[in-house]
Amino acid sequence: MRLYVHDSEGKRLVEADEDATLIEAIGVHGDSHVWAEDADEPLAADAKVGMLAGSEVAAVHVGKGQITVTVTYNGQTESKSFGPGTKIDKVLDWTLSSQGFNIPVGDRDDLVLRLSGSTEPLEPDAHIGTLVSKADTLVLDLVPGERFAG
Amino acid sequence: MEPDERALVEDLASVRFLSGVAHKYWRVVDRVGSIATFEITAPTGRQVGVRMDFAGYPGAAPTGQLWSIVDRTPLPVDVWPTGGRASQVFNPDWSQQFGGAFYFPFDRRALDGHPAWANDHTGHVWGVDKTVVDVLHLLREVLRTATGPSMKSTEDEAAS
Repeated sequence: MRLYVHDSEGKRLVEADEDATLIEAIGVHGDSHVWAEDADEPLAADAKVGMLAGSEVAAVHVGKGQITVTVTYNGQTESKSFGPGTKIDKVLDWTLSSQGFNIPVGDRDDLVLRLSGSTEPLEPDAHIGTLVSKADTLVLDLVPGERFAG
Repeated sequence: MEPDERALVEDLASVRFLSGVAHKYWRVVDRVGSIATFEITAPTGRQVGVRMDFAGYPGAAPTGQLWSIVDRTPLPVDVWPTGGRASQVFNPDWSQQFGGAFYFPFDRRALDGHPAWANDHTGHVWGVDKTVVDVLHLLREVLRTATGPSMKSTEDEAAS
């Protein structure tokens, strides 16, 4: 089974036997855990690769704990904790929702997330645990997507 | 195989590209040499075909056009995505003079006439660190802002 494995270094593909434990298949060491993509809690230490067979995408994150994401929009900030395997797309959904900045529906699709102070795009399938290295906080800006003119 | 085609084939096999396929962000419709056709799906569910010429890749940015996957022809202007940033990037008044090119810094025909974009849009400067994946992510981000034509009319176009 093809597994997308994300960690603080980036992402890689691993071919794994469904009967193997995720920890064995990925080679997890130390106090890191395996998190399913977009999950708030880590998987059990004996979780098997095959349990991801029904997932839309068999993607996991190797990381230690939850990450607190703080987002700034129009001078206001909102914070929430997510598992390190949470995709940028899911964080964006939260910022736009009534639990975040409650952006009117007609304005939502023009907004994007960027690392604070950066103009570099963030890939929607990037895991937030990949963006923070060894820290447990991530600071983002919610801004309109760039318009190209001239 | 020419170097540009070889580089494209390598990037189409990269983990970044395949992750986008797995997440249903895009799919390869076909590839002939350094010309590839993709179907892109925005988070809103809106889909569009794009055909891109990667001659000189990755040293040169690709150039592209909206594409009817069913008819294998350039997409008729009346069903081009409109609204938001889509109206700027898929701008028929400009792009029809340039083979349907996208009005953004990841299209070499648009880049030719806009040297200031390198300073104005530092997050979108084409270089050898950029790949087909960056182009597809930007197209998808732009497509997300489209409000027209109606989703039904584009589905009908695809089904016709």
